[in-house]
Parts: sequence; C-alpha cells; structure tokens
Amino acid sequence: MKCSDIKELLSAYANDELSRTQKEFIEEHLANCLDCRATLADYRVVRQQLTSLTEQTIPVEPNSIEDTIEKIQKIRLPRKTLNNTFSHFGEKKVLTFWSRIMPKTRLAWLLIPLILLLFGGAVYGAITVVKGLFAQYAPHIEKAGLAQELDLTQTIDGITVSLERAYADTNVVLVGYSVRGPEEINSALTAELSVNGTVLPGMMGIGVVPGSDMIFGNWRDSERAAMIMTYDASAIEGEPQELNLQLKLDVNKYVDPELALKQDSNSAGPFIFNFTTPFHKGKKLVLNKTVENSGISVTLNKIIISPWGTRLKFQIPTLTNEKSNYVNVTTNEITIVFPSDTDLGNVPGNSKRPAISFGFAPIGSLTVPDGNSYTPTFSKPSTFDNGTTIGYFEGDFTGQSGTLVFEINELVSPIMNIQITKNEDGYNSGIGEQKRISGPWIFEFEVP
Amino acid sequence: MEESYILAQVRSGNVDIFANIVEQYQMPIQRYLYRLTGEYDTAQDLAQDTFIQAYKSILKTTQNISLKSWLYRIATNNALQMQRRKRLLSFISLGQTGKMDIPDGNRAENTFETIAINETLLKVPREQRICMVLHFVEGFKYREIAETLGISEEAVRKRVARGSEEFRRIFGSRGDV
Repeated sequence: MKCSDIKELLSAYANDELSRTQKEFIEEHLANCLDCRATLADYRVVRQQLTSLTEQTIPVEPNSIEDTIEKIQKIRLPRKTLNNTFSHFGEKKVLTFWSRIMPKTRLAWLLIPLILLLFGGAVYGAITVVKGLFAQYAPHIEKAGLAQELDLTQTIDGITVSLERAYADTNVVLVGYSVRGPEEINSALTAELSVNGTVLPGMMGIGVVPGSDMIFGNWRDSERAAMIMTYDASAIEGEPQELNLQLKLDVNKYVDPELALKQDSNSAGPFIFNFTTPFHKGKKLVLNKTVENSGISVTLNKIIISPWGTRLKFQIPTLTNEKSNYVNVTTNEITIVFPSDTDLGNVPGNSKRPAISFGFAPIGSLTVPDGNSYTPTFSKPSTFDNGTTIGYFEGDFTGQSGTLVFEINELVSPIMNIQITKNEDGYNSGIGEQKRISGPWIFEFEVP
Repeated sequence: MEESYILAQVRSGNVDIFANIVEQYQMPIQRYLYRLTGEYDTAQDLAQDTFIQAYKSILKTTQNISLKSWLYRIATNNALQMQRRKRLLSFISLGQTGKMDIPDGNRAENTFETIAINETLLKVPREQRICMVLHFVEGFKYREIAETLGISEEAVRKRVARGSEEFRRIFGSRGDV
C-alpha cells in the first residue's frame, strides 16, 4: 500500500478512531516509514491546536437561558387528543353568538383560510419588499411621506433591476431597488451614485433576500433581493429644489463563490438609472470649534440637521504610543501594537509597518432645543475623511431652533499596548489594555 | 436526570423541565455555532433558535437518535442555512461603531494563537470544518458525528483527514502578507 493511501487512516490514528487491527497495521507501517511518521506528527499538531480551543470560553449572556425558556413557554402545545376535544360531549349546548357564525361543515372551515388569503393577499401584495424595507430602515422618512416612489426598470443578461424608491436631503441620499432574475443572482454588487458627475461616498446599505427571517413585504416572481443604499450628501453644494442623480449598478451573476470562479465574467451591467428626486432642505452649520480637557482637544467641525437625522462631524486627535519603536498589527477587528523587535512570524495580520496611532471612540450625548437628550451612534474615525469621527442621531429636528448641546463624556481607546509573551511552541500571545479618558468636552451653540 | 424521562415530561407538557436541557447544552451549542459562523452574536441567536426548534420537534416527533446528536444536527442546519442566507444577504456598513466579535475583554484574553487557529479554521471548507469542530472541540467520536450529520463513518474519517490537511496548509501559509 502506498503512503498516500493511508493518510486518512493516519489522521484517524492520531485521533484514536481506529479499530485494533487497523491500529496494528498502522503501527507496523510507521515503524518502517519516516514520511508517515512526519505526517502523523503533523496530524497531531493539528489535533493539539484544535483541541486547545476547548479551553477558550465563549461568554453566554447571563439571562439567555431564561430568555430561551420564556420563548419556549410561549409556543402553543399541539392540539390535545380526541378525548380532550370531545370531553364536553353530551353537555347541554348553549349557542353563543360565535357558535352561530362558526362554520358547521368541513367545507366551510376550509373556505376560511381561502377567504383570508384573498383579503390578506390584496393588502399584503400592495407592499413591495423595497417599500417594506425602506419603512423598516428609515421609518421616520416613510411616515412623513417623504420617500419618492419610482418605477424605473432595466434588464441586462436576463437580470432585471428596478429602482423603486429614493429620498434626498442635506445629509443623505437613499435609494431602494430590487433585483430579479435567475436563482443564482442577488444584490451583491457595486452601486455608485453621482450628482452631476460627482460620486457621493457610500455610507451603508442593507439588503434582504427571500428566505430570510425578515419579512418586509411581498416578494414578486423571481425577485431575488431588495436593497436600500445610503450615500453621504454633505458634499452637495447649495440647496437645490431637486437633485439630478445617476445610479450605476453592477450585479454579480453568481453568489456561490465556486460558481463565480468558473465564469469568465461574473458581473452583469452596468445598469444605469438617471432620475430626479426632490431635495429636502436641512441646516448645515460649520463650527470648527475646539474644546480642550484632560490634555485632549476635540474639534467639532460641522453639524448637519436634516429630516433624516442629525450628523456631527468632529475630530479627536489620534493617540501616539509612548514608545516610538512599536509596530501595528491589525487582526480582523482589533488593532494591536507590538514593540518593533517582536518576531511577527506567527502572528496573524497584515504588516510590520511603523504605524503608531489610535483612534478614540467617544461616549456622549446630544441635547436638542426642546430639551430632550439622545445618545448618538459614533463611527470610527474614517480614513477617507481625514480621520473625522461622525456622530449620528436619527430623528427630524429641522423644525427646532435654539440651543443644541453636544457633550462627549469619555473617550475610549482600542485595545493597545499589548504585552507579548512567547510560549514554548514559539507563538506570540498578548494581553492589552484599553485607555479611557474622562472629559467632558462640551459644545453649545445656537441653531437658527 | 435521565434523558428519556426529560423527553417524556416535555411531551406531556412540562416546559420547565426543558430548562435542564437548555442549561446543559447552551454553552456547548453556542460555542459550536461560534466555531461554525465565527460570529458571537449570530451564534447566540442561532443557539436560541436551536433550542426552540428542538423543543418543537420533541413535541411533534419521536427521534431515534440521541438528544445531543439531535441538538447538534439542528444547530448545524441552522448555521448552514444562516450562511446561505448571509451569502445572499448583503450588509455593507462603512464607518460604523467598531463592534467586537466577542464582548470587550474576552477577546483580549484570547492569545494570538487562538485567534490564528480560529481564523484558519474558518477557511477550511465547510463540510470538513463541521466534522473537525465536532470531533476536536466538541469531543464527538466519529460514530457520533456520523449519527449527528446523517452520513457514514467513512465519510467522517475522510472529512476530518482532509480538513486537517487543509488546516495545516492554511495555517502554515499565513505569515507576513
């Protein structure tokens, strides 16, 4: 038998999953085969690496068990047996109002769902998924009746894209579209929006496909996805009555990576839509005001108030590590800094570059003129916007004039200053710290 | 408590006794789902779904496989379905608040090797990864994996072996990019 033929058995041998005879056979072979001994050693390393994961704890939310049980308790038990159903048999029947209008025959019972379906279908069918998703994503915009209904459709290579909804104001432009076509396509695509040739930066997008748990409306025949994309409109000059926009889309024909790889070109398009949408005015205040506390200067550059929400653009200086000979390694989500003489051979990450800056995440609140206070969502300092941090709060404050207070209470750093130790296998490991700096940094200004 | 007793109790309408099962398996199932999906929040949601589905199916059917296998089977299917959905569902988020995979603190305690192992594992083809996680992390014997996934032991052996090779290849090819 060739060595390559017994690989599977070697792996099972390392995992103690062989019968006695198989084991004896392998041991006999191993005694005379250096290559297989090396392969076995490899399998054992993999085993040791993976079994080490059993020691890693995954936090379980303290009330998740109660939560699960509570949900289970709400599940209705299946219908009881016939004995229970007919236990009242022979009792004197009192005809209530309900029992009089209850169907008396099996056929009548069967008709009920059909009737409900006809009624329900008519109402339900009127809502497209794009509209439903829009209402979910920007409920205040939908409620105020500000979203524009569009019906622009384009078909390329058997794929149909329909631009169905749009909204624009001083802060954002939202577009909603659906994709129809063969089963393998979906919305995974590029979507570029421009105003008179200027491309607006994409902020975020949300999409939904049939079969997902989220039901927002009625899926049409061969509809594969509905998307809402948000673009930053703050670059738009002036206050036009309406915007002339161009949406340019490319659709991935295959979402399955294996299928996609087999194609010469996986993209269909571009689908180009030229359309005009009303522009909802807001207030754009350029402040560039700096407040210093705890040795840190925070500058509030701009505040943009629009029906969609309020956005605060501000800058917090990035932290510089005390030691200048540190290097930066970025894993999926955390930025960790190592002394530059650390051997990074075994550390996952992307580089050995001498980057030493950190972006703080703020914790703060926004008090609007009517006295109500809100907690904005803060973004990480964005690299494409000169390290600007953005605070966002959803809600229409355009109608309010008076004092607006933006207060940052605390600045929180990413995990940094990781201490490195090397274990006997030569792998680096480390534990870091998070810096928290107390403010407050308070910005108070008048909104006209 | 005897498994068959618990199941009989659940079928006769004793919901509270199901809490024993949830308590016993919540952590392992969630950890398993985390290994398959690589996302803490998703794993938590899927774990809850798994118990709810398991509860419903206990009421509806009689299983001829063990409860443990049954729970892991549901969890596996949930993860696969979720991944299919996710593959189809786009969510692009630029400039959102940095959300850590595992709540603050815990992530920092994980050594780099653990992070590297986790990341490598997520790159191993799905079918192989499922068998590997069940065997190495959840401590299933090949026979139990076969029962859980409804495949032959032979197939399990093949997938663990191939997955291990793939894991070693990917892990070895990391390094500086």
